[in-house]
Amino acid sequence: MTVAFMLNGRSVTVNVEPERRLVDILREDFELTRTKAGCYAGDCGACTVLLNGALAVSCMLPAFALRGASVLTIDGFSRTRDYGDILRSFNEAGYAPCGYCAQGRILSVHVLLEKHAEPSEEQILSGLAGIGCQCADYSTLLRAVSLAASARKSRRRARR
Amino acid sequence: MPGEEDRFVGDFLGENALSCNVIRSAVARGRILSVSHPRLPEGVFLCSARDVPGDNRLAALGSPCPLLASREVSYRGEAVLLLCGSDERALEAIAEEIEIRYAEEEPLVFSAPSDDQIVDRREVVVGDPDAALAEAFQLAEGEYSTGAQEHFASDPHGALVVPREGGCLVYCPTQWPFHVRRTVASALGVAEKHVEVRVTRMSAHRDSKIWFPSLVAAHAALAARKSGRAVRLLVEPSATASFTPKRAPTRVSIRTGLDREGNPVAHDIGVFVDGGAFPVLGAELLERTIEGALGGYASLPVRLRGFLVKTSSPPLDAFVGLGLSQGFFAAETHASRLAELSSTDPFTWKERNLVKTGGRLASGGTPSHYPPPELLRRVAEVSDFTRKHASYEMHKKRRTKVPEEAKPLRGIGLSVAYQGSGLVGRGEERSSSSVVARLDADGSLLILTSAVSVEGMAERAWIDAASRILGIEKKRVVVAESRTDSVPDSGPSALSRNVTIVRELVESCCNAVVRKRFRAALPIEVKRTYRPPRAGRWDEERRTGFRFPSLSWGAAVVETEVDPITLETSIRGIWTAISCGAVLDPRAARRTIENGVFHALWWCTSDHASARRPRVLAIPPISVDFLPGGPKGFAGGIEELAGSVIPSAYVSAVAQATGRYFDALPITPELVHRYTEEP
Repeated sequence: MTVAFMLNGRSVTVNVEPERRLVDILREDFELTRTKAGCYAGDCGACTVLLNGALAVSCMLPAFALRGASVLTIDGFSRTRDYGDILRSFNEAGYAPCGYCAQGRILSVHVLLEKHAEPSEEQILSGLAGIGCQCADYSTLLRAVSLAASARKSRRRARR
Repeated sequence: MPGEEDRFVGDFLGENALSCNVIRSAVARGRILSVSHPRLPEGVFLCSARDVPGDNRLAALGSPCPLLASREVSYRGEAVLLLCGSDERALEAIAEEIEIRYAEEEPLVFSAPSDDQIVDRREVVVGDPDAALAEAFQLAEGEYSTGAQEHFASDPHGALVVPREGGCLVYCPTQWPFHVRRTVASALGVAEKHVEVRVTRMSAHRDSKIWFPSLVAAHAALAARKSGRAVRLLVEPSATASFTPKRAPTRVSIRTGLDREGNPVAHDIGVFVDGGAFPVLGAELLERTIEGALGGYASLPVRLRGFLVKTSSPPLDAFVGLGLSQGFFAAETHASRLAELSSTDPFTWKERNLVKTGGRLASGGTPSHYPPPELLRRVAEVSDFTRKHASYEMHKKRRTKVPEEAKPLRGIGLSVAYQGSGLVGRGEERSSSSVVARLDADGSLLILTSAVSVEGMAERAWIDAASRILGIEKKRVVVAESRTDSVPDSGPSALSRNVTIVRELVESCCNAVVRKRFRAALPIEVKRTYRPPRAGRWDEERRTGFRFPSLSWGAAVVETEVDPITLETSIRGIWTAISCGAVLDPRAARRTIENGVFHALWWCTSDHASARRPRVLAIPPISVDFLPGGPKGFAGGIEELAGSVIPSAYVSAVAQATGRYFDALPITPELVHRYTEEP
């Protein structure tokens, strides 16, 4: 089947089997390998993308569900200032998730901060619950997210 | 450094490589009666044990693990055939039609092993335990068991093998590139020099990639040889969960003789370790479990019998700690019980019995680094252990039946353990690990090692050491990519070994470069191979010397609260104190301990069989206290310390909260319910 959707802000069309997974389409057809293929069961969160602005695990998204949708991967998001804020905060806090889950964590933090400008500890844990990788620690995660929240708030305030 | 072009193995797309499916055994144990398959279309290849031109076994380590099962299968999921071709869908369809008939046999289980299942054994006797036990006033016995634990590494096991004239080029994520090279070369029947291994990027692996990548790479290499094409093999997530190595389950029984005052006078210990079908690192696993089970206490007469058991589970061994944590769980849980029997609070009991400077450990050896007196004191003070323990003990004794109480049930536990970095006994002497350092004419230093530093943690320690010794900027120190054709064999990589053995080799190379600088022409190249210090060399017969090249100590207090209605356990506090000498990177060190605490808690609470990834637990901030001191220049590993101290402290805390003895991991709410329902 032919599916047209928005990928990282531009319109794309792919000719694929209806049940082909988005993660495979991204990695193999578009060579967007920064989106990782992990468990293929929606459990690990390595393949996280934004689907119409909400977090989604791309290994559980069949091609037929993409028609008319807007998909933002880490490659698209990394062109935004929000990405820069989050990355700098991770570095400043010493939060160093591994290369396999970092993309999913960054997108999760972005969505969390869109929902809660100053997230509580509980909201942070719940906001990042979709990532099952075992690499990162807890206290620096909290610090990194709170730094990212401050950075985003002050940048957006300055813009206004 | 590691990370061929900084890519994970799954990101090697577009190399025009064939895909490879592993056809696995559907039964846990049995003989293969027949194999039938449909006619293979052109470009599809099937590889069996008969197609292995060389040795159909993993390069020698422990048990001879076959690459492909030929006549019999020993665990469910064992590789029998390799199917490769360009169309993944077509391969799946063909795989469906392949039929393997088996004559099934009864699987070998761990619970009651027969003599035939014992594949390795050890006996440790120190002093005259029989006489001491016979004279004891009282005997205290316990049996402690631990379950398997999944690594949950995010990136897949896999390999890309590209055939070359007379051999091949292997890309794969591995902690031990030279073992991959040995296995692939011996499987293909070619000289090792014809096989080059390049390490690809890895995520946090918890030691899941010590030897299993060698098996995967050998499969890909055999498929590549059969097809004459490049082959990419990625182990599917379901196979990773079910058939790859896990933390080995153990069962430890301890019988302790006590004097009239409740002081221990001798131990009789039995250790059983489930090594799975092929305990690849079996000897190391057994010895480290034994060391842990002997604990960190002062030497007493002891008899220990240890057995490595072959079962019909997939090979079980490699996990951070490689057995020490399982052993310490038993030793420490038992020690807490002895303290209770003698009506002494665990802090006082453990402080009194912990090995003192100059003393011998229960194993008979002397540690290279002794626990400082403030180790236990620090965690006890910051956690207010003694007061809380007494208070919860009083509550426990007043309670009659758990579910009738509406108030939360609280408990607190304390544990102490050490981490042995490097291979146990004289293993490091046999491994002959080497590092090369080359000071070039432009003043930059190149470090050549096959040791793999995940996310650069150990690499920073090497660069810091080199920069400090040579007085050059850190940016002028470069660590070469881990490729077997250009770096020396530095042995198996684990974080603790990288920051101890490998760092010492880097320092030794740099010191030698300093001695030659301005005397010899540039470039100056120095190679150093690890040799344990002669003074502390382990003597198995006399049981003297260091059992490990490097030792760090840790203590932890865990405070828990059990909900009286749901029986779910929550954490009220975790306090740790670490004595590891110099802390090379405080931020990374703290992160390592915190991460280790989470893994240890998952081991304590998650049923491995669920195979669901645990999430970050909502727990209060973890207190991590690095104590100063230790021998000059000493910096020990800390990666497995949390895994050794947290479980026993957690179990003791839950036991105090509920008033029931727990002697097994994991502790699920269902288990708490069952225990509290028992009269």
